[in-house]
Amino acid sequence: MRFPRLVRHADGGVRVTLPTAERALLADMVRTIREVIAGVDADTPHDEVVGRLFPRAYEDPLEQMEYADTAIDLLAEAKRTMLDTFEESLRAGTVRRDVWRIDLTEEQTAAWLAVLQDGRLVLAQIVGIRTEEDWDRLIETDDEAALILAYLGELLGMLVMLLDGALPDEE
Amino acid sequence: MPVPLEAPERERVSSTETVNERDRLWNVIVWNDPVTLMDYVVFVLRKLFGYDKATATRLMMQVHEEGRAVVSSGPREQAEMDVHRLHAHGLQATLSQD
Repeated sequence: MRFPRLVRHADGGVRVTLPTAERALLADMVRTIREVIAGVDADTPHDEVVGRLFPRAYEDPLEQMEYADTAIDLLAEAKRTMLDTFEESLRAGTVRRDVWRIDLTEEQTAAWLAVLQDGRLVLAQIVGIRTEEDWDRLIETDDEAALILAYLGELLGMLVMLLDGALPDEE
Repeated sequence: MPVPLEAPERERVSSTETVNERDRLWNVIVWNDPVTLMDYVVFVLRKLFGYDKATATRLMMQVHEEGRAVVSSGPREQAEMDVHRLHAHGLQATLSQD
């Protein structure tokens, strides 16, 4: 059966319709991001994956240290809140014949955007995307992480397309 | 070579004011990364800074082609907040003074 995974209602809401297997995949992604975020603080050196979710704000090491003292915890907390909201939405909605459906609130929609983006950043780091050219070698691969990365990109792209039309086109 | 875009400034400090080093305007820079979708960058710039689609698209293309673009300028506190919001949306952003 084929169906549109994301649909925007006239009232601005977004309806998600996914096979339950894809919902399970998204739940796995949340666990992966939580593992990356766990234990992040300003004093611990970041590995490359953590660095994707917690980029530097300053080139200067001293200024970065000052900034990180407060900002890292705030950013980690913001990301955890987004993950909580995203995860709650995965547990809500209805399931019928292995198809899960939910109408997202505005808050949940914002969480979907942020979490899908973070999920892509983490997976891309894991599969070794460092330059634009690295995508070429993934085209023929059947590596599971690469396939999930492509799936998340498709889902995020659809969501952005739906939401972009709702923004006022003026400064 | 594309002409660098000049990001709109949120706040200009009057020339009659006493301005110390720390109060000079800070630029918020978004950096290219090979993972983030171009449409996503446009959407986030529109959402966070209220740019119209054409402006956000020009800034995104500058990021893509030149590796970076200044997306806003302002006092340090505001620039740090902008960077924080960009990081929360998964974009690579820094702040610096000219």
